[in-house]
Amino acid sequence: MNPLIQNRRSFLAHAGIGIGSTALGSLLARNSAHAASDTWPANLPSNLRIPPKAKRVIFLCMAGGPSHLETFDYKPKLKEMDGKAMPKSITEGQPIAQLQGKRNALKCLGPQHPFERYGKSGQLICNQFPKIGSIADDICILRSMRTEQINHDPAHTYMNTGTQISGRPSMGSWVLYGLGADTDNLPGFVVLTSVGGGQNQPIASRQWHSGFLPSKYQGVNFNSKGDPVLYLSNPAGVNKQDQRSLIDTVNELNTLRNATAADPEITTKISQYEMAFRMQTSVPDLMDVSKEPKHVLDLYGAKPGDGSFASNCLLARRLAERGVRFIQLYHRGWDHHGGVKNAISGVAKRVDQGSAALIKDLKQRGMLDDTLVIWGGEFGRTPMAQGSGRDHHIKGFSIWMAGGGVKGGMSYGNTDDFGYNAEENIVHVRDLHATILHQLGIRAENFTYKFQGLDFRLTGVEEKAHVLKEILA
Amino acid sequence: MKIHRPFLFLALSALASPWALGKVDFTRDVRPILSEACFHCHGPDKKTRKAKLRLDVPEGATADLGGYQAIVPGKPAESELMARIVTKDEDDRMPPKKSGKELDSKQIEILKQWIAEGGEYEVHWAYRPIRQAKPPEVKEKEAARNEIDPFILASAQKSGFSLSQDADPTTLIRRLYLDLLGMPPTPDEAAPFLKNPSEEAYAKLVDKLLDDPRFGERMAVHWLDLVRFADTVGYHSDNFMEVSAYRDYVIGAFNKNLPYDQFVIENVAGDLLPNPTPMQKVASGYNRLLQTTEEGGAQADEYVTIYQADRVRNFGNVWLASTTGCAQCHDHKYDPITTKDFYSMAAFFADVKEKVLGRRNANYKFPSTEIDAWLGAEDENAQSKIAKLKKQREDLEKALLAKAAKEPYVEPKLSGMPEPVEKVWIEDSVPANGRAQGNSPWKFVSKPEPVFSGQKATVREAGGLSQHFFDGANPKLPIEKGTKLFAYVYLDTINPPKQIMLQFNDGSWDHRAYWGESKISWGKDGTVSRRKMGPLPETGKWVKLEVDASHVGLSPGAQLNGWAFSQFGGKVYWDKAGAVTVVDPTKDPAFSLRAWVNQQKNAKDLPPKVQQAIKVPEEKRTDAQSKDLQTYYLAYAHEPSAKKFAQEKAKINALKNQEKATANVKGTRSMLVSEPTKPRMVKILPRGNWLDKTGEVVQPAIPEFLGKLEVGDRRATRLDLARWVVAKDNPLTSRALVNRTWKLFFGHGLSRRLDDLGGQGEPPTHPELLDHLAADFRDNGWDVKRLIKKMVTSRTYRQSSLVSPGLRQKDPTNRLFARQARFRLDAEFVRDTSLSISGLLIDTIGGPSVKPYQPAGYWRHLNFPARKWQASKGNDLYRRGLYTFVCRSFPHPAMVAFDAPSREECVAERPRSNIPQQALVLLNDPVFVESARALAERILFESKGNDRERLAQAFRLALTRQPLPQESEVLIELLKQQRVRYKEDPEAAKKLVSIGMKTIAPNLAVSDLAAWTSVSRAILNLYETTARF
Repeated sequence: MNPLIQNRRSFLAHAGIGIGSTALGSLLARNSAHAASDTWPANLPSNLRIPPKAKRVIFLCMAGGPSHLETFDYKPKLKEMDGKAMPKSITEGQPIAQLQGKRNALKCLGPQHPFERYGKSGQLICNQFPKIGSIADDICILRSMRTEQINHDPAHTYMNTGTQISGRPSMGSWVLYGLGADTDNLPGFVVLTSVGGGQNQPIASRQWHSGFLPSKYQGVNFNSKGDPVLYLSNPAGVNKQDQRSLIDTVNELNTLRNATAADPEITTKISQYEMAFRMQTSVPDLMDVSKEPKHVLDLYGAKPGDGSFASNCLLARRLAERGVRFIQLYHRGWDHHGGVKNAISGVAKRVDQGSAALIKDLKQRGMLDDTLVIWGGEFGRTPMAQGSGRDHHIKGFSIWMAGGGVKGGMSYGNTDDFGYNAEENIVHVRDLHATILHQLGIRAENFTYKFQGLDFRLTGVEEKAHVLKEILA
Repeated sequence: MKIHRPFLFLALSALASPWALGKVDFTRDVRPILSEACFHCHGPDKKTRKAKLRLDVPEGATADLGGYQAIVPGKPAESELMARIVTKDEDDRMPPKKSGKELDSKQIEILKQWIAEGGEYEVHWAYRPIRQAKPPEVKEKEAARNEIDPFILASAQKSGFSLSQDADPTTLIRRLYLDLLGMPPTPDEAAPFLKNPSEEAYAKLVDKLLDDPRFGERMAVHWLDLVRFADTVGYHSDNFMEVSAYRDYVIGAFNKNLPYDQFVIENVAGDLLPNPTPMQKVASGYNRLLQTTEEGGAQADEYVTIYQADRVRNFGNVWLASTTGCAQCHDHKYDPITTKDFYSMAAFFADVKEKVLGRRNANYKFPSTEIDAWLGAEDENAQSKIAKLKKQREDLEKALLAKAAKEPYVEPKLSGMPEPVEKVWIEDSVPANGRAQGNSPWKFVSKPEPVFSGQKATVREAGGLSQHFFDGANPKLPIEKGTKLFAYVYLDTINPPKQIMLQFNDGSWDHRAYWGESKISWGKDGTVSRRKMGPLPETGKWVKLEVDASHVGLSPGAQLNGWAFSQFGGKVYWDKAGAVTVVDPTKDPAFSLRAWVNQQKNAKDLPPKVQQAIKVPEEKRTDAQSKDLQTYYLAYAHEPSAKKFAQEKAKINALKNQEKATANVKGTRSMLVSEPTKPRMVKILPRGNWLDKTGEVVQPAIPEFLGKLEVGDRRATRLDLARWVVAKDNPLTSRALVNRTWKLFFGHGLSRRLDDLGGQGEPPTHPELLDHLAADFRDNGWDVKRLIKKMVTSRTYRQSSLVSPGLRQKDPTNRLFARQARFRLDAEFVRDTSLSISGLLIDTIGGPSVKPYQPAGYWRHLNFPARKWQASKGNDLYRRGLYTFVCRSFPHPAMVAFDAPSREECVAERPRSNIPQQALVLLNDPVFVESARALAERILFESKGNDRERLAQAFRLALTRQPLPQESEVLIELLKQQRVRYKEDPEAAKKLVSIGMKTIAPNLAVSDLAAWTSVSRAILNLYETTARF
């Protein structure tokens, strides 16, 4: 989980030839918490290095597949076509999920909510998301996303790892592997979850797994109830002082043993016990938002300890402040096969304010410039009706990005009149990955790890991934 | 033509490899460079080949490219390849900058020397026939214990080393126990060898351990990673699948020393063997272990593609140590495997019968005695228990029939209009075969909470939209003319909902009725998909809700398989639900014996006497037959009599369930096995795209470069494939197995990439040794124990793992094997070791997977249905790690912390990380705290001496040695301090020693036990306790 106190020996054994072996030693080095941004990626091997814009990533995962047609992609033509047959020429031979049985009777479903223009930039955003509207000038809306997996589980896997095949590292793990983190009290890759507003699609831990990368790069799922991190609390009847004495004893005995063994694993083990002890304090401290000023809690609409998306957004900011490299927030409530109209209103109440508050809060703290925030789901939803809802859709959907060197107040790419096919400036998932890495100062095409004899990349080994230069400031 | 530039004169940089460079070896030195730097564009894949240049075969390398050639044997100065790799011109230099690959001066020098020496190619080492190499002649011959040692000695001596000295007996016996059994020796087990560590004693010890049933369990851990064994399907809902019998098969196979060739055949094609035994069928479950899905909206064709690719990938990895995955979309870039090869391999598995989407229900049931015999663990107890239960049930059944025989019965007549009758579908449980689902699991409550009828009602409290429902029920609920659907509801007075809704599924959910406000948005108002029935019913009392089936679009003939109870906010209880249907009693089997007999004509599940009587026409039945029929009918099928016999029937049912439960544990096992069916057609999918149906149809075939199966005109089968895997001339199989096995006992493979012996793998450090062992293994009955014995009795194995400074510098990664490896134990063995030291371990072998403690809420992200981990009870809490239930989406977190894989893909080698979560698990996971307390109790009971003597006993138990004086000091210090602490705070002491389900032994002072628990925690947390040296 934490790359800081690295076990150099096993790291070397596993790192293989992915990154030139001479660079590996420096790749392990931890960067001090407040190092200047132009120096920190200097630890990367030179063939990976580009000037960084972002230090960290916060990915707001709208799990279940938000309808782009009721969020960020306004389609007046689709409104006209409401209830009419969807042209076969568009849908024929295309993948389709739950509407499989109705292939021959597909009907259009017009946008269920009006859109309004927001901000100086006048970005068109669904009126159910007025708070996101209020940050319209800070966000860049990508309206031409494409993915390749049409069911939730594989689509999440695709979004996170760049492939449907299990066992590959998630993007957070890749980033942590490349850059390490700026904390030695917390994991470098943290995942938080919340629910509400629709069917709770399952989320598997493979979404934040390190795959074939060493386990220390895996994401750590923080819980809002019970132990915030698994096995964090002392056993009953053991207080902090007891635990400290115990760890001192263990470390002393391990040190004694190492006098003859001279085993670097033991040295690492000793520091990991220290890290574990620090986490026992730092994590509860992080999770306790009750000392945040009222105006901040109000900005997010967060109630301490409620486990809501809003509270998680506030925690994301606190994690970012503490040097965590990659933060992922899942909100499981976007799978709107039926009643998309009301469902959107419901889920908007849960995510609109928190999302916007995070951007505003980061901005007022001067952190938005080097924090890349991404908002989006694993896919979008069909322009075709599924009763009163919409089915899964992968050929065109919307996400937005903010901060971290991405231009605000703009949109990029377009879908056709139906909101079906991304047509202009198509953004594939691998392009998104390449852009994220690029902003973090990593050259995606050279960022590889050898596994089963192949140089694997987050951006895939096949097609070329494009950095979205046009959206970069 | 390119202008040649003069070569840079390159100094040889200091060699990082311990090998002294003599004549360049193509396989060891050259091919890895070419493969890594060149083959991506100049390799086997036609489609990405650049400049028509192919460097993986000599014909390509020496082809005339228009007056010049890439390689001119013997003449580096004339070879374009050399010119292009040394040129300073960035546009011309190879590999190109954008590839991110670079050749260093050493690599360039190797290529130069190779060309100068003739530029000869060799067939890739792993594809060459296995040669039975003779052990080399070495100096210090006496240092060799068996034929492994000369190979290792020879290379070490060439680099100026010899072997390290033998490890001391304590280290050695611990190593051997951990390696062969997965846990350390007890003091009693260790004592004889420590007293007399002779050659004979060691050899005997090895035999003893290879014969120990724990050996199979230890080997299974590694094996199950390879075949990605897990208890759940993996994708999306990630529901349970019953395959634990396969685990038991593997354990038994290793313990019985089943020849590996037979093992391969039974795994890949056990179901195709003539008259397969139950365990051979279980073995064929290998073909069903892959991840599958039941996600709604998944497309079958896509998943056919995903599954076939998964099977081919795993097949290649496990049996051949070959990577095939990339050939799904394009010809392999580094090995001669084509896309056609990939799909031809897939065709072998096209006969595996399976429903592409949906629940993985076990399809094979067999007596558990089969497994018991396989594992050598017959249990007569369970059989007699079942027999007893059966006897009790049969007695009750007899009594029931005797009671029913006294009841009168008259065939009903129709007087006037047929009567409406209530048919209850949902009462106290989901109907048969229904899949319970919901925003959270179905919650049943009993009195004193509101219950309308039966024993239980369901309850749900929610902030917004929430529901519980089921689908897939069978038998279904038929809709007839005039059917009214009903359900009883009770709304909480303090927290009533805003809206309640019933939804009915006859294949679609678009049949809804609601009461109250319009908050739930499904369906379209005013249509059958959304009927408003009226205001909310009165709160604080049970109210019967009724819906005319026709009102929600359910016509006669429709059949319900699902039902949903939905609400918006509030707290709602639901009870008895079903249909009121107008019944003509003369035609309804529930009221008329005649109608029932008619319905049961072909029934096979009735008592033989009843079945016979049914077959006899009514007028020809004897009186006795008529009476038998009537009695049975009244007892079991006559609705108006049902109440009279309810008690008896409930008892009978309870006994039946008990029998079943006992049988499930011991009586029978079920398993998802492979069964052949008519093979699916398999086509090549261009670029792996399942929507593209234009590809060529292929027949089952092995990769072309490895030969052809001799099957004449018939279609090749999985059995042919399996036999080819273990054919004597297959160059990969025994090399793969020997290499992986070597890794288990020496820390690294002879070839370091265990899952890829192909072009991008690593050539072996000791190719002759690998071949020697592979040939020996293959030619001596594929005998796994023999192979392992050879390894662990070698001097190479018995070396110390301490590293001399010279070795550390020259050979930091131990490629010479001139010392033993040292490493942390695998996740399962960390657990086993702790449980075994503390004495908590339950050594039952085999059986369904178990659920030790797991943090609450860890499964909260699962759904369809939402579920909770229910920890096992009693002994099952203390079983070995390999029996822990593996949920692929959320594997047990203590296992994950120690690098256990999620079993989604083949894992030949686990990473060995060293992370803070491991400290948190050992410090705070209740099972480790409980182990510490049990160890403390053990020390206090088993040793009657003073603190120091007790401490010495703890060390013997945990570390097989005495503590050093300094170690004692440190721990005695902790003990004293903790004694004071827990004397002052007896409440805290009580809390600490109460962790876990195992009760505390009486007669121990709690504060003293708590203090010793702290000491034991320290010992169980030591690196030495969880490592192998």
